[in-house]
Amino acid sequence: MNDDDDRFKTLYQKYYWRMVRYYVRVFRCTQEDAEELTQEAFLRFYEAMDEYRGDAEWAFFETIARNVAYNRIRSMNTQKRNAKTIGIDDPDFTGREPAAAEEPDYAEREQSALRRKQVYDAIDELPRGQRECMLLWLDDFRYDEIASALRISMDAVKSRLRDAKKFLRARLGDDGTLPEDET
Amino acid sequence: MITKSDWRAVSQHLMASDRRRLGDPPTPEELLAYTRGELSADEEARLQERLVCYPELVRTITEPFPTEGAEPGDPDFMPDEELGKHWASMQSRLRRKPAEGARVVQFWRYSAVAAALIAVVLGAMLWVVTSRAPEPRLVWEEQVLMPDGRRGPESQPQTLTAQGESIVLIAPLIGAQKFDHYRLEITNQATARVIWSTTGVQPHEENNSFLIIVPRRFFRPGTYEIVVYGVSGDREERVTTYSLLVPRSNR
Repeated sequence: MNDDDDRFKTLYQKYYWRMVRYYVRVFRCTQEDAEELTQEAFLRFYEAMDEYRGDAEWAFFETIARNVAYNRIRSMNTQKRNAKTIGIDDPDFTGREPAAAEEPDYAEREQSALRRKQVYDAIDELPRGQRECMLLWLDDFRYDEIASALRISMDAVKSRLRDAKKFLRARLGDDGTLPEDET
Repeated sequence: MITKSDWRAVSQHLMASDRRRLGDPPTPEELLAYTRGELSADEEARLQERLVCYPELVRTITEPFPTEGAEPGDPDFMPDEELGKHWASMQSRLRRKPAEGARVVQFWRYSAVAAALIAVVLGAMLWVVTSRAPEPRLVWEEQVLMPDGRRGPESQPQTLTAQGESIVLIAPLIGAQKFDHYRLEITNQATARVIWSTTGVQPHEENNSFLIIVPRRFFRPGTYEIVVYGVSGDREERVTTYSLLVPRSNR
């Protein structure tokens, strides 16, 4: 047991479970997956510790932990890229729906695919700033989180989303009711 | 009637389509520069476009990174007994790696640093020689690196294509502010480790570029980042980066 091991163990005891929760929040993954990522980050940190000559160990760990997260995101992207893709015009696009009690008939599936195509085109037509806010909002990010991610003010987020929703309602007509539109 | 699942499915489809179009997510270094406000307006806009299609990456910004550790008595504090089990498991994972791994890596790192230092000197000499007598040479091959953010819509790292035992990497400083001198680093992105660095250097006067000769075996397959820092007095600024992908077959 050396000084490095002692320093490492102290950090591990203090931060392990907080890191697990951080990864759960970031990846919306299971605790088991988050523990795997946390252990990976600490393992890399341990291996790099003897090369580190500074007093900001936790900042050094943060760099490693962010790289672990980044590599995971990149590998997830590679898996997604290699996955079978479904065209927006394909009626199978509706296959993303949760399993229904009864199989929708062909006309319903066609109708659903058409609806989604209209929504897709409408969002894609939004100006870049509004489109980015809308995609994050639809992914359940809060206004303050969108503001922080895009480095803009909360007022700017509200204004962009208001304009985007107005455009989408006009474009989609009566169908254009947005989820939790009252917010 | 458009349902909530329609909206979600469409937004996920748009993000997936953006990911295919825009490529890999921003690197941790790019994100750091972004969150510190160090990017130009154009670079920031391009980064945001790539960022938004990776919600997990967005959450690394919006979710606070734990900065306060748990103290004894806190439910988050890992008891000694549990730590002992984790420690044993970690040691066994470390043992599964090659026994001499760390020392081998150290040896190669120091060899590579020495080789690269010699290579920089040789590179400068080579530049002088080739500029005076531009006859064909087969031993060295050059590759001009484009700074990150200046490769158009293609945001993926530049692939190392130069062949040969050693290569000359030409890293131009495009439109960068002048500094008293510069510091260069090469980082392995997979491990976030700086594998080579040098200080107190100046770009070549004629083309405002750094020339780095690197023995081929210095680069294992993977992604690397060459970072140029400008230094004036006590002030040091990250000036530019060049991401470089070394493919498996290109050795």
